[in-house]
Amino acid sequence: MTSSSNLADQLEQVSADRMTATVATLACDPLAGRRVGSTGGAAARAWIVDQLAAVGADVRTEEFPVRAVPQVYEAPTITWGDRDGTTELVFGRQVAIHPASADTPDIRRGALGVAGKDDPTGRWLVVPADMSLFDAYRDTHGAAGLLVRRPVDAEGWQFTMLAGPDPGPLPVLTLNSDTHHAVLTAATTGDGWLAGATPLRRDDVTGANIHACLRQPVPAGADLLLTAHYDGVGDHPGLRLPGASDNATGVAVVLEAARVLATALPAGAGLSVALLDGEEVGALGSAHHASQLRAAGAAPMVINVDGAGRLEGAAAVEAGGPAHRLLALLDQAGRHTGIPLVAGPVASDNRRYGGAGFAAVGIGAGMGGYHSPADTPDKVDPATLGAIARLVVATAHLAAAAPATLSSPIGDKR
Amino acid sequence: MSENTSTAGGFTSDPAAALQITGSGACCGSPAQAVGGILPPAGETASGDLCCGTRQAAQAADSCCGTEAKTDAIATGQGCCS
Repeated sequence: MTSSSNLADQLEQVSADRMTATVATLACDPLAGRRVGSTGGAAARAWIVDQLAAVGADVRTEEFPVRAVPQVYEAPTITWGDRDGTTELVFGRQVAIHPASADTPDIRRGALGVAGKDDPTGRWLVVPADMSLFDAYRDTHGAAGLLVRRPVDAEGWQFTMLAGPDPGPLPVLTLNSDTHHAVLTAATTGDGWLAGATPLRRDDVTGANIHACLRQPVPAGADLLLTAHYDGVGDHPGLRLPGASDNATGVAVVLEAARVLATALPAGAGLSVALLDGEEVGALGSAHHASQLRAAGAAPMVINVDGAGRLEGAAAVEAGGPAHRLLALLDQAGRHTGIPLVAGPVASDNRRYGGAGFAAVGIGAGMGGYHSPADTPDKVDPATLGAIARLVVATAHLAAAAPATLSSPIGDKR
Repeated sequence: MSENTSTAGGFTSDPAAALQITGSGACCGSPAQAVGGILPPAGETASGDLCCGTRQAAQAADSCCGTEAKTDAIATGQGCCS
């Protein structure tokens, strides 16, 4: 059994400074938000491969196809007006393009109307806040487009989603609450108009996961797989979306844990890393990987990190698959490192692995500016990076050391 | 190795609750949970045929969204059905 001093030594090696530097690198301008299939994504991948190779890992990449990735190819100019004047809306804050929008490069101008109430012909229809886009589509024949409300983050930015339903036949714009209210009021009084385009194309691209084996699994030993997605939603024209917390932080944590564990993981455990592409388009990288693992008959315990930007009270943990033992280890590691844990949603790649039948946990420790320009490196808390990396290192160490001896409120059942 | 070196960390309640997260069973809702809503069944290759809720529920409802998923999305005002 490995001594506690060995684990203490490993935890001491965790460097928040190194992880902070990793976050800054992955969030920098040339990587352009790391959208799947982009040159920025490829540059991020190359950099990560070098980091893993530097710790002695056997590194390879695995490609997979991704269909119809939405991309705003031009900052839209959206203007609306009423009897009081004309307003040009600020892209990213007051207006954005809904991921289910049709691609309409040319500006459409039309009177404002209320969805479900007014004649749709030639009108931009404002969808009331209590009506879904699904319901709004019921009576849209001949409409110019749809206008739906979308919340903004603390800094007033709308969030960007790449995953969503297939595009419909109409342009769809999202408006912040104030703009939506003003436009709805103008539509109700019947004297408003709007002019705008929705330049949103969908590209078929190739994603690529990064796999690194630091130690082959041994019979009857723990087989650990550390994962995080390195892709982001990508920049828009004129708008940077750095993806610092989501998920440069997760990559930083996994790289740091791998670096520490590469030479110090107790014997008897396998250790691999998968840094995944295509999470933002529906966790497609992990879906690809999980299917490969299942076909190979592998049985890893998966620890996925998505968002380690700022720990507020406790780190969220979501588990899937036969994860009781893994949860017990995580609980023990949390107590050892002093990191509080709480059951909570971590809607990320861990769901793919859990759904494929592997023991999987997702760990989330906060992020600022979800999918927006506000997700910048300066909002990432170095102490949080250090805490989550220590949690992962301790979990791996405990799994490799003597999991059967650990006490836990839920035991080590499988 | 010593255990329980800190009483401040770890789960404060039953860790098994992490296996019962609402939304993890393929239902759209808040953006932070939406990944689970657009996942095809486990093991299925990427198709790009994204929808809201499970594909089976959507087919049963003859719509883009499963009924429960749509209700949840409307209630939260966010997600892929909004």
